[in-house]
Amino acid sequence: MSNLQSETIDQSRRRFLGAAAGAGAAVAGTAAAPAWGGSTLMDTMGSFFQNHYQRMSDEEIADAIGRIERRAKRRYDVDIICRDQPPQEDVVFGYALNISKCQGYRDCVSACVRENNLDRGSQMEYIRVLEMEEGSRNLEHSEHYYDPDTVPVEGKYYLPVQCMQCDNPPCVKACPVEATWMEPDGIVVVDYDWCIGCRYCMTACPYQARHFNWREPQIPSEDINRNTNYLGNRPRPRGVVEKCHFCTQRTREGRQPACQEACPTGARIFGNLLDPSSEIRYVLANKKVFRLKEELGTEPKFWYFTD
Amino acid sequence: MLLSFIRDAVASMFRGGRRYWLWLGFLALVLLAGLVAYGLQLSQGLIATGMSDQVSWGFYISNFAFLVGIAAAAVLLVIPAYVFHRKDIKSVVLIGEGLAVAAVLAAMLFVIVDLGRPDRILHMLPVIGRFNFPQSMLAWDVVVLSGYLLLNLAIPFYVHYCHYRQREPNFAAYFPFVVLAMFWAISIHTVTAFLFSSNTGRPFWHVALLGPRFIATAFVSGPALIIIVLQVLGRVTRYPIPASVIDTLALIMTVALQISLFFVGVELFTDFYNETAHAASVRYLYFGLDGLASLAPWVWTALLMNLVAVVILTINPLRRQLRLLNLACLLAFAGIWIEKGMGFVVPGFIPTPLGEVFEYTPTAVELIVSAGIWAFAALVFTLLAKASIAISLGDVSAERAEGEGSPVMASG
Amino acid sequence: MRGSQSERRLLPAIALAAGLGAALLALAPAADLPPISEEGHRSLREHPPGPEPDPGPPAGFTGYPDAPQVSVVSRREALSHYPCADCHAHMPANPERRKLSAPHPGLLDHGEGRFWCLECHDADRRNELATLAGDTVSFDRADQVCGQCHGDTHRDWTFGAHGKRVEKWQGERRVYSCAHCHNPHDPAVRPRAPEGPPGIRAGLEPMPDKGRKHPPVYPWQPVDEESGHE
Repeated sequence: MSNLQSETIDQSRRRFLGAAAGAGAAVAGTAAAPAWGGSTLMDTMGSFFQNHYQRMSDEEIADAIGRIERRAKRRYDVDIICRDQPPQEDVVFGYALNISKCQGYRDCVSACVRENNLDRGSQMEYIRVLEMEEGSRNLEHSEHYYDPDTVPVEGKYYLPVQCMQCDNPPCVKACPVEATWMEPDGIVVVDYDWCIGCRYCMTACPYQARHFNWREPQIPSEDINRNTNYLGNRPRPRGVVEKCHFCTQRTREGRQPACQEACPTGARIFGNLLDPSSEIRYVLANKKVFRLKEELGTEPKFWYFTD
Repeated sequence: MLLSFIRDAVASMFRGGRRYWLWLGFLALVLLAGLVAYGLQLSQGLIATGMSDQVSWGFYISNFAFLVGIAAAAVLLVIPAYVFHRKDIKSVVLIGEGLAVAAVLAAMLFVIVDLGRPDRILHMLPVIGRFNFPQSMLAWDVVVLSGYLLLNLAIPFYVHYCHYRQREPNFAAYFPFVVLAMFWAISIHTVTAFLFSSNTGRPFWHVALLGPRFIATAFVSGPALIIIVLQVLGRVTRYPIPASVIDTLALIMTVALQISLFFVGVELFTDFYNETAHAASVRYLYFGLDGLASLAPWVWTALLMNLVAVVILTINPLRRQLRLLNLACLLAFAGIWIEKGMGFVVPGFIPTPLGEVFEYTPTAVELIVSAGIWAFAALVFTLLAKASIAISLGDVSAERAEGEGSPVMASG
Repeated sequence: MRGSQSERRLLPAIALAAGLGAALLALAPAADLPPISEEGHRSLREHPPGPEPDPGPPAGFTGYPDAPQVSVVSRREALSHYPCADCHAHMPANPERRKLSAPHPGLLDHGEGRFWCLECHDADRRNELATLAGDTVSFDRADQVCGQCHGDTHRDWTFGAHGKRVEKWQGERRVYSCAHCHNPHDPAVRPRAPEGPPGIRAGLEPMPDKGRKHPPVYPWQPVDEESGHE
């Protein structure tokens, strides 16, 4: 039995303890009345007239954050902390994924779902792991719904796909209302309070990285991640598009994204592309890397490599 | 004077016989059903539709693409009427423009019902909102459709107003707008084609031929509809519909259908002679992928309809028979609706950019909402045509309004 | 669906427990070994390591030029059968290959039969590792030992292309040691159950019979009439 698995157990125990603490907090908190009128009405009006994120003053953002926290309280009965974490100076994030390491466990997927408060039980998953045929990189031969007893399956390799944080993002160009844009740290974010839900960005994305809230997101209260960020994992409304944002709530504080932390194989390498001594720069300089659909001119900041 | 014009015109819209009211009532009923279905969709969210992350646009956007083509086809009456001064066509050009107004409105509605957050539509406005112009092709589409709507409201408004006052419209005053409208008509459909063809990740749409194909199919479905509508109007009103107009439209439609079928062949050759991964959507559309082929029967039916229509239209003696011409019009209209609607929008999403084959079937909610919007378009057109004909026939005019004589409508 | 996933998540835990038990049972006490006292099982938490100083990197290896500063997550604290010297201080080193009983690992499936304990463990200072050249290396710098054979991997690990950086991408580089992820006595990574497949949009059905993805056709494969490409 390898240590690799004992580490996973450790993580699941931690997960369990975290969930238990969350449940405790939820029970301790007083049940908020979801009544119409009063602060609910004020919040609805406030949301309706809320400006674009990039045009709001600090006070307006503080008001918006108050509404977000109150809405989470009403909807999930959880006290979340929503911050407006700014991008760091001289940082542009990049990701490198070692496909000779990836075993197709999908631990990254489930960690992402929990970390980013994704709708459970619908199809809201930012990462999709493709089971590929050895000897081929044709995505049309990939299997998305593989579910064998154990992975890796002989004759297959695994290719996780998520938002590539393109440097020339076609989704940003497509949005008719500028509800999505690239931040100075290279992350393509969405203002969930500005998006009109036309889904043109989903059409424009060549990586199937954008996802739509077809219904009101449903998350058990005890599973809510209370550490949230405005342009990140705060609870989203129905009818808007969302996507991987490299865990802004973590990475802008210097922490690793949840998928990197969850990966038991060490296949995921995250870091600052502007730092010549960073791990990711070493990978780009020393490994033979490729990017998905590079020929489309999207300039992804997500690389794949092999040992 | 202007106020009495509007008052009289609106009043004329709601004067008519029993059959006219039955027709209006029927449309209102369908519209009502559509509103109820839309209410359901609003309360549940777009989960009430059959769309998914894989196929994120469906029946609504399919109808949108088709209706923009109908709207653009009004230019086929505008050009011969105002540029070549065809008297016969000039007599029906206002009806064509009414059709354009109805089609543009319906197209816009199809986009609005497709929105996840229609409450935020104001975000599209300049200044109040943030309008991503000229970057976003959808922003372009909003601009060209709004502009086209305004042009097609303004020009007929002016001409009708002159008729109402029994004056000859000042040709020099409105001709520049007519020229603008001509180019604008082509632009609305080209921009709508670019809306799709600009997506590099969707090889099915990412072809330069898309713009020309859109125009060609628009010039089939548009005249087909106008030919039918004009004949109906000729029967239910005493407005004279010259046979030469039908002939001209049929000829345009013939050539356009020949060209658009040629385009289909060109695409099929390029996709299948040396089949690449980029042909996957076409393969799905015509033959299915991974055993999933729900669109194939539809697209083959559409192809068959268009082929029968082109045979009828191409052989002169057949086309000259009104009954066969009408059959060809119905076949071509339905054929293009399938080919350019569901047969065009949905395969763009299948397989997904990651190679997944996930099919799409519209739900009852989508179908009823769409029927409601079509009924709305028919209602708008009926009312506009009603007023237009009343004014053109002189039943409604400033003189009569002053003479207190209640105009007699001959329609049934 | 999520319920079955969490069950599956538990599977490795059960398997691990069962595996450990079986390994311990399999280790029949070897006749010529002295009995192990209770003392030998002391955990490190209760009995912190003795005053032995960290031996530091071996003298032979000078490191890679331009290598970044890394701090390795300590492994000494995680070792349950430690410190070894408590027993081995009283025993002469025995270089002969033989079956060992608990608390030694029951398995040495590394190096295809080329290794014995003392290839990696320091014969004289049992709480440390040793290089082939005989330099003493701390358990916390196992990479110095592993890297003797796995040179390319060691270089990648040093620069961050292999292994895993812990907690932060920024600031001090804290990385896992080789043995955090690879069992040095049995380094092969076993297959395990994946997390569940992606969901379908609520209210929609999955596509029927999803096993039909056309595989690529290779010349060494017989053409199957049914599943092959048309």
